[in-house]
Amino acid sequence: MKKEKLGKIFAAVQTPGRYTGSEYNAYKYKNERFRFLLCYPDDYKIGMSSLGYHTVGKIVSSHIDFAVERCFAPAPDMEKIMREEKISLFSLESKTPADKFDLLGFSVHHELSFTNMLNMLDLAGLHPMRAQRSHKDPPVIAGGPATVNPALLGEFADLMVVGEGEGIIPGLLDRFTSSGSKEEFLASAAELEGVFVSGKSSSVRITPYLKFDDSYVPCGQPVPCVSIPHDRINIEISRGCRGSCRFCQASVIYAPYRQKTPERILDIASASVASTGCDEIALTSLSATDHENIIEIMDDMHYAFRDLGVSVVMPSLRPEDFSGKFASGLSRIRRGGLTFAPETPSQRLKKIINKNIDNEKILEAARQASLRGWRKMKLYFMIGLPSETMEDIEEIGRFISRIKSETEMKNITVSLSAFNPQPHTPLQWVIPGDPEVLAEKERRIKKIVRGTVKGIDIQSHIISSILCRGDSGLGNVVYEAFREGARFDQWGEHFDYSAWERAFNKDGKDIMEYYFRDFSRLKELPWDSVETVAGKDYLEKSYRIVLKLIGERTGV
Amino acid sequence: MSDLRARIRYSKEYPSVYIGHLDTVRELERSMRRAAWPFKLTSGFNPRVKMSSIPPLSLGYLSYAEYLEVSLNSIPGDCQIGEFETSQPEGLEIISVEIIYPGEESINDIIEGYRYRIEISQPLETKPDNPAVLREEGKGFLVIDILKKDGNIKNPAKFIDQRIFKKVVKTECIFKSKEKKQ
Repeated sequence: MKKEKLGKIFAAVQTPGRYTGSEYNAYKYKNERFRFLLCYPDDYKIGMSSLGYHTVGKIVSSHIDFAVERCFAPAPDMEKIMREEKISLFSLESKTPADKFDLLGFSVHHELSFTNMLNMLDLAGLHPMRAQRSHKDPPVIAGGPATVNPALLGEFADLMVVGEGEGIIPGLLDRFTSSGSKEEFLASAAELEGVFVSGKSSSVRITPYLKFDDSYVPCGQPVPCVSIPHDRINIEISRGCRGSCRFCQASVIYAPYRQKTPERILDIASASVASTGCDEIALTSLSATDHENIIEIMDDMHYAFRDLGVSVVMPSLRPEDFSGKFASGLSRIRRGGLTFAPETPSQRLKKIINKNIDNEKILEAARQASLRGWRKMKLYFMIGLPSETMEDIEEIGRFISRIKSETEMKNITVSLSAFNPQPHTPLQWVIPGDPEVLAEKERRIKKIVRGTVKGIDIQSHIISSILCRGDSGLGNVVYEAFREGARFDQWGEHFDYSAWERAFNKDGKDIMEYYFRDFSRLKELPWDSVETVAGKDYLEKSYRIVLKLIGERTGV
Repeated sequence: MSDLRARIRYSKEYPSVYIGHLDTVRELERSMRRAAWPFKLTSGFNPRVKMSSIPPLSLGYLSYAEYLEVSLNSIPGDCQIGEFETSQPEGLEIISVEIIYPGEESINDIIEGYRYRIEISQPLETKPDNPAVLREEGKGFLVIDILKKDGNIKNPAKFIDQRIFKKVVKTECIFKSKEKKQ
């Protein structure tokens, strides 16, 4: 595309910096044999915040035969122009049409980005449905957390990298270089562990990447040229979780717990600051303070970067971190709001979901943090948990009142989410909460909580619940939803429930029937083709405990 | 400003003209950090690099006269300056780095106004009133000076119908007469 034409387009859209591809460290084509388009089915700002996306970019660009370029879902104003002007989806770096690449890789983090993935394929001139694409079209690969249920995603992607990509992608690229055709590549890829080829594979095993300390890290990643939510260097200091909350998919699919050494973490941080110039480092993990050397790591970071104005943040803290050995380390991190996810204040429900955060510890943390000058606190609660009653909901109001009266925390935000039974969790067999009851509970919380309450988009929750446990029969519904205009379903301002209603109707399916689907009656679950380290037996055992706690009979 | 400073003059061309002012300043800060510049930080819980810039350029306008001043603890070495100059994203170019000593006036104190060259699609129908000064009107272009004393207004679209603009280039800053023009 010519510079003048691009200039006209950029002048007509919001935040044009998302499409220029002019960032420092942007990928460069150096006449490699093959070209890989790394696609993120959401906005630039979300994709560029993703550690997983950058990591895959690093893995692919490290392969001698592959050049990488990036592509993100165009915002509605950009899509409108692209469709009107018949502009094909193009890469950020060289503005090459997407269908001219040898491989298209999508990093799919959430089922609500499926319609964006379909839209990107359509804009690329490729049919969104796998079965409708020809052998001449480039293979479409999907990776990321959404691949743990390949049944539905497999309707769109030719193959999926299931689980941790570090150990799988290099071998997959090798297979591509030695294959003469798309068919040959797919057949060859199906032999690889961790790869699920749609229509060919019957099972896949999630294999943990055990060389975690030496794993690929995206040092020298493209530096975003517009502000993005997580504009920082993310360093994954550990993977997996020592906890085992029954609603949590990440603790199952990223098992076992592994951590990087303090030396390696400091090396990554130094190299990343030197190559990006970012002023913030986030030590990411499911629980950063579980790292056995966390105090040493924080001290190292503090002394290495304080003169460069680089601060360290830890997005995942636990209440107990605010007292005891870690309390002194808190002065080393950037003071933002205090955030915890108790999920519920009810001890009975905590036991059911196996969330071991004690209310008293949260109160103590709030006391300790307020003594150190923190005034803002955010608490995440999940509603619609199995066997939850209005009495459990009332407890949220009482708990917030206690924090307000017993500590100096004056600015408390309650953020609600609806329980969404995820594949590969012990609660995968549970029927999610009735939307009307969820709405009633939300209203009640807004009434009783003295503070800001961030509510739930219940309609979006319904679609998310259906899709995350979806089977291949829903492929056409997602396609129809895309044709009906569904885009950016994770974004409140863009989500259009009526598009989904029309899509379900067109396909002769009932949304609520799917939402209330009783998976405990199914012998085979749609995602049973994926075997996790924990295994289905463990999940069933854990689910039986839940049923026992609830006082019901097990149907499993 | 009484600090030791570096005064950075830079240009913005395609595609960086589509990057907003704050994002551009952040990009320059990052390139200084990449080059390990000895910049000064603000005090407080969340220290920031101490710097100031001239008023923002509108999105889509080209410029060869953007300025940023950053406070320093010491003068960066030639390698650090060289690394800074060469590690910019596409469309951003460092024109000069000048060391300003404590006590000298800041860039915003010595600037009197801004000069723009505007390519236009049709001749100007009505002449702009003050404070915009129509310095030159050629075939298909205008040169206008906008002076700060007339209200610190920096955008030519305030004086001339921007629908006739084809391309706007900020060519230079106009400095107070006592100061050396840059």
